[in-house]
Amino acid sequence: MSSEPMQAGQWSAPRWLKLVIFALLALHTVWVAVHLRLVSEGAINPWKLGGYGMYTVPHPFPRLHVFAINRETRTWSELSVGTFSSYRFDLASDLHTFNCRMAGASALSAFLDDNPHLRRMPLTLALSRETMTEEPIGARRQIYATTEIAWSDAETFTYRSEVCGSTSEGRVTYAAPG
Amino acid sequence: MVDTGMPAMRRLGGAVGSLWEPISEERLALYLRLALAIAILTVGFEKSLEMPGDIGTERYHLVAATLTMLAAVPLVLLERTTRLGIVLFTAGLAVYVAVKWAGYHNHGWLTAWTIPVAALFGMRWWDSDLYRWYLRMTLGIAMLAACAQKLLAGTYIDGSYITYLSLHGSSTERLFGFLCCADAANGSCGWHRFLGTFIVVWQAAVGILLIAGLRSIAFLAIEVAFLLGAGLYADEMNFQVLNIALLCIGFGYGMRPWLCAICLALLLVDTYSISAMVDHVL
Repeated sequence: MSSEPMQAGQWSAPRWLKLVIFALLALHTVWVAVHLRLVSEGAINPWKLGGYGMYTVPHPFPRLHVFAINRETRTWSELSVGTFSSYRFDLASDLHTFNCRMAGASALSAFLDDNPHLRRMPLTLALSRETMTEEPIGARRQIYATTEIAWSDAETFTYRSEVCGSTSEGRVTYAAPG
Repeated sequence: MVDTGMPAMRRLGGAVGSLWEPISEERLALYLRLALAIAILTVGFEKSLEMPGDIGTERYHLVAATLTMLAAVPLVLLERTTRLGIVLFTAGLAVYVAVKWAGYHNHGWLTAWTIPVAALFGMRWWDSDLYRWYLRMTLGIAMLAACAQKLLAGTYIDGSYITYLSLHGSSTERLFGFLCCADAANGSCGWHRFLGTFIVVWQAAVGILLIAGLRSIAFLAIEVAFLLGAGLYADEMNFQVLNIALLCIGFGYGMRPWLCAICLALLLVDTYSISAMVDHVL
């Protein structure tokens, strides 16, 4: 068995290219360290941004839940899956890769763009994810972020988001597309 | 009657021996380009499965990026157009990175770290020792990173993640469920702790050996076998084929036709998923 199966390289790399290669390796190593730190702080989904933490915990599969006031019963209830779309909201929220990122004005506007039937309604949006449990060993879905939306007038809404123990508020003048 | 087994053994020995046989420089160059083409194909193939959804949501730029990646596959294979293929692939990848960077996981980012760099090495990138070294180092870093994450999570050393997969995973992920009784849910069993610890130690050893510069073909063969096993277990062959293709370049071995046939078959199997096939049979 040969420990040198390849032919010797025919091409000698210039100095600038060697520097680029070393810089890339250094950058990759730094990113690995940053990723490790972010995962240890619970700041990101370990399956994303390089995926070095894949298969260390169950995939969180973040999911949006929407609560609205039922017109008949006048009580808050969760809308069933299929009655709303979270597509643009998910994209605007970077697919919820960052666990402690608030749902901002752009993500909320994107949600309303996708769901014209939910405009001008008081809403509560909640994000849940799967987390691993120890006893018994398994996974449980838990809500980790909420956003309340209230409309001041036909074109303006205010919101209050809570995630990772922090709160943020804002006011948005919403212009429906097209 | 006594000797009937010998020709078969000789043929098997010959076949195994042929894996180490030196080949012409021209042929090796072709196999190295083939490995990069397969690596690109894994990405294009994965993205092509998302194309109907991209068309449905009118994300035509992603459709165009996917078609660009697929077009790069034959170009990379040919000596004259190989660099153009890499540049085209990089353009397609750049679109995905710009749009979906946060949602990208292991496959996308490993590709971004490894394939576009080849274009820097001139028309005959496969001749560069530095590129091969860079691939081995990058894969070594990724291995050690995955090992560090497993140590950080603690779910491999205590075996709980293997137990979790055995109880709640897909059909292939339940492979090691038989090692422990149903009560394993209340505390992972010894065999799952052993398996979890073995995986962590294996990843650490492979990462260190890659970075240390071990280039033995036997090491490559063992790692390829391990990757295939891991792919079957996790039901994710696409990423394993990418790793195998990059290792084949990094070790200067190239993608031999028999390995290429296996990889292509696994890519096709991956579209349906092994678990779905197992469930269908059972």
